[in-house]
Amino acid sequence: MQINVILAGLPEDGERSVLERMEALVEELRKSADRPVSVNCLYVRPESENGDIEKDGTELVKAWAGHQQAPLLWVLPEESRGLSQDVCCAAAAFLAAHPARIHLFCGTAEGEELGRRTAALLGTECLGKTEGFLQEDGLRLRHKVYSTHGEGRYPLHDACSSGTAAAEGGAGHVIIGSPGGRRQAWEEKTPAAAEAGKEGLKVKMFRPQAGAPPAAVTVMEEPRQKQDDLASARLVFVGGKGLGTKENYLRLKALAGKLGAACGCSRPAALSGWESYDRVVGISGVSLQADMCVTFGVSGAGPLVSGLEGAAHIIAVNSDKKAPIFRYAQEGIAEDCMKIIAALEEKENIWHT
Amino acid sequence: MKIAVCFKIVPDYEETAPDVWENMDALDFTYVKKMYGCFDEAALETALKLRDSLQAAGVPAETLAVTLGGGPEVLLQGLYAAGFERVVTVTAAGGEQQEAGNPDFRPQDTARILADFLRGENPDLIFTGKMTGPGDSGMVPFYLAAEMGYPLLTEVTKAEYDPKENRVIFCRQMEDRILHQSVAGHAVCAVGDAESPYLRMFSLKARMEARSRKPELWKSAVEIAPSGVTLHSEARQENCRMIEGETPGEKAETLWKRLKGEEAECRSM
Repeated sequence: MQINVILAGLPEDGERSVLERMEALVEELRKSADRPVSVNCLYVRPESENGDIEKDGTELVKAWAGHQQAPLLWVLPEESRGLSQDVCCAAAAFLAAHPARIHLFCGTAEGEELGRRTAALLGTECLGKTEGFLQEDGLRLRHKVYSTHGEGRYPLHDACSSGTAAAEGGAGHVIIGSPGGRRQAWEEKTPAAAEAGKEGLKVKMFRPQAGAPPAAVTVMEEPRQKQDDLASARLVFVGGKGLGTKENYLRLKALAGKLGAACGCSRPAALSGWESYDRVVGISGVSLQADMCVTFGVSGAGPLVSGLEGAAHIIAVNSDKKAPIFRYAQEGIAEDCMKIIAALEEKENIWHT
Repeated sequence: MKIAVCFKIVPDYEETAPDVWENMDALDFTYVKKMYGCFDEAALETALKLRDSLQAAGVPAETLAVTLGGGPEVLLQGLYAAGFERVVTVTAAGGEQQEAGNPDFRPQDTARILADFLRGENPDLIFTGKMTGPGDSGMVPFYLAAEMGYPLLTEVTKAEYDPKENRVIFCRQMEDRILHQSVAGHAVCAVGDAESPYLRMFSLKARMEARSRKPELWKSAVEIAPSGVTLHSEARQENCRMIEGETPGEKAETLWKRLKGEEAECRSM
């Protein structure tokens, strides 16, 4: 079974974590598929400054592609950061030129958008972010549904045998990895794979054809001020509407800072203006990978819980001992959040007048 | 300018009892409160605000809200009260009951049906929420743009008319930057974390006037194919160990030790 893996928007200091998530997905696919899996790899990346894209900044991706026994590493250069229509069309052209049953896009912001746009260009099926694969009356995709209250298992038809897939262009299924998905470390399995990863794997360019001018004209661009990286923080506090007021949330945030923790929030808290949207934890926000996450005043709604699943250990603080959050936490404190926060502030010598 | 908004009415899944999810083959949301999908509600208000800015500048503009599958009359009539000129419920081939398939897990068919209707309306702009349940695929805006042949702007947070330049400026919040863009011609806008996430309040008078207005009905010739999806419960029953103490201070002391790594409890679990 042929699959294409498309890597885009890899963060400079987070390449390995993205590749580890792809490793976990591909390995799960290998175990679930009823036949051997062959991998093609396309790496979408900014143009190299010195022009030598084969050597500049592709080492880790080459090593992983070699580990997956890809015949070579395809590179699609972007003229500038972010997706252009030319890059989207080129990615679609690549997938059309390399037929596969599955086109697996990495779960970075750029990878997700590229996957969605490519699926729409090809007219092929895309079901959003996946939690993994399984074998159940054929190969199936696992995807959270009903605001993460349930799991949907979608059939991944073989384009050669399925009328439905053929009707939808027969171009294979576009699948996007979940940004909070399981990670699996990979090491070169054999000396041959190690050699392919380092020097032996060829790199080939796949250049976009210059197309029509972009449909949207940028009138102004402003940088978005990023706070500390919530997604990679090892200790995270998450505040919900149960805190009561914005002032209480800000107290939690200050306490988090004192304890060396990042601070996120629920979507209702952001909608109330307590925090910016880039701090929202959950299905449409950040997926945590923390060693420990402590929630304060979070009820446990499905969309937010989805963002907590990557955390190794969850401690929930909520005055309602029947709050759903306690079904997902390893430890809990059934207590008024502000009393707990006040006691922690006292330990950290934070005083309020 | 004609502005269309595609929206969906969904149950408030957080208002369901936990045991509802134990049998995914027989989900019953009959008695669960219904609401606009949260990003769809933001799209509805964003479109109304754009209409307001156009009309304030003397540019004629009308808004049209369209949904596949309908919903409670109070929510549909509420859109008239909020100021939408037209509200349309579209059904797939096969009747209102959609016996052929469930659109919830068929974003491509949902987009085809919406496009089937919208081609006849030829709107200048189409707003949608970026995702909504139960399928949560987030793909309808992408497929809709492809079906209509319109460019797609994602993560739109605001749309405002600039009378000096005679163009609409869309604000898009990307991961590391904010883009202010304009489009010549048509566009589909997928609304994300909008500046105005809630539909405006309307007066009792507006509500009373809307009471007699029914949504228009339109039947598509497009069928919904079966998705083949199987549904499974995600209910988790962690053995949550409650941290005990006589006072909040005692419980906080235990938590503080965890945070400082002075107790290895969490690492061993």
